[in-house]
Amino acid sequence: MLIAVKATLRLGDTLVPLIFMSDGTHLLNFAGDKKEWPVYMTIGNLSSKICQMPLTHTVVMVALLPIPIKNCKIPRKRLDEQRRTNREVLNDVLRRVLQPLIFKQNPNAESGCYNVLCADGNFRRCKPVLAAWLADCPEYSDLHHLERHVCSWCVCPKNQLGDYVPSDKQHPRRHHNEYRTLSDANTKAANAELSSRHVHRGFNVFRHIPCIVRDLRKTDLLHTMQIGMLDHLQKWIFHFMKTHKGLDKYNAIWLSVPA
Amino acid sequence: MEDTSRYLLGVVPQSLRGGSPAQHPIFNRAIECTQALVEFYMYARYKSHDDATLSYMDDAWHRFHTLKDVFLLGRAGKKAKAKANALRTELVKKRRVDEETNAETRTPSKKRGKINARWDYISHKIDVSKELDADFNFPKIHLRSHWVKQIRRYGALQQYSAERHEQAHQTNINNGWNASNHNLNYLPQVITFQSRILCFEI
Repeated sequence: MLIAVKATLRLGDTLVPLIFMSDGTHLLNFAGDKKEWPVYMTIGNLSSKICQMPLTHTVVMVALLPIPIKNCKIPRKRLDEQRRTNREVLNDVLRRVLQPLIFKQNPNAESGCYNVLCADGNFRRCKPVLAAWLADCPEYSDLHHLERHVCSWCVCPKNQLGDYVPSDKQHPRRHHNEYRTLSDANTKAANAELSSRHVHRGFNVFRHIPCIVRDLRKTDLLHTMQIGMLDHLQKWIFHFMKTHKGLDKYNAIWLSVPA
Repeated sequence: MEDTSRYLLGVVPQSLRGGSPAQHPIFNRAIECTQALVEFYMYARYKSHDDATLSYMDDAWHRFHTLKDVFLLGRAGKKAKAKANALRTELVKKRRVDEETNAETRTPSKKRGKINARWDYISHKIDVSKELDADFNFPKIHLRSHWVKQIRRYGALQQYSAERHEQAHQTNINNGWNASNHNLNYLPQVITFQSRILCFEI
């Protein structure tokens, strides 16, 4: 995507790959469980030596969104309705946040380029491109209008998620532009097609921004491996030890490990 | 978890030492499965990759998939557990009926042995039923299959660590929240606090 954009640039233009990050954080346990959902932004032009330092403020907060309350005890039908409303609100808010990137609605930007005042006092023509969005698994399904517990890269049936996929036999990829046309058509056949691919109907911001929505997702070691997979492994070993009556020994050995 | 993975491979084989000869193959399988997953994680953390390391990575992942059945019991979800509980009540009822019918014919020591054997039998049955219903179909396990392709397209995975914005929570939000009056309108306070601090530090 970036290479394709780079080819359209004129001499002296700067490509600015925007990297967005979002992750829920909670502030207070009691008194109503305060939780926030900040959206951060940084750019890919920075050197990695600078941007990894926390005190350089390379990561800027662009939005601070409240998290809807979890409604567990209301009937199923109302719950679905509530979730749909939540999705609509989220997309509307994100549309306001990402407004400068949706060029069609923005007459100020000619062909997506902006004049930006740089640190040396000069103006430069910059072209911002949405390059990545780092988040954790459930957030991707919210952002990409997918159902929970599906892969956002490929159309993999839910009952085959645990199988080994050889690199030459990958499942078909997701095409979000296709989903957009299907969602706009709003006919019975289109809706059936969407639900067969575990996609929600409705307006989604990312399908209106010039980028490849599927590629926004990046593999994040911290969330998917350290607190995802290895955490699962720990749980499995715990169960394994329990059935084979080795749990006491296992715990004792963990205790003796130097902290 | 980053640190625990370092010790995991030492701890698991140590705690599975001993045991009866019948248990050895299954223990070995468990150890190898753990090894494959940790190995895969270690390969994923490399700062640069080439074809050889990618093929090692894929190989470790394939090995994990052939061995993962050992841990099937740990994947038993709510449905499998409910089914197993139903089976347990049924088996316990059956056992009680059996005991009442031939209670007089046995001496106490023999009876105790019999009861223990039955309990083992019941727990084994429950485990089998749980294993039948359990599966490995959850999204995070599927994501791994895309990693090799992702590395080929975008480079090593370390650059996409989420630790950067986890850190940003601290400077941007938690400090602001601590300085606010914790009332209903704390959101604007957090934002103004954050922007002022940012101005000063720049």
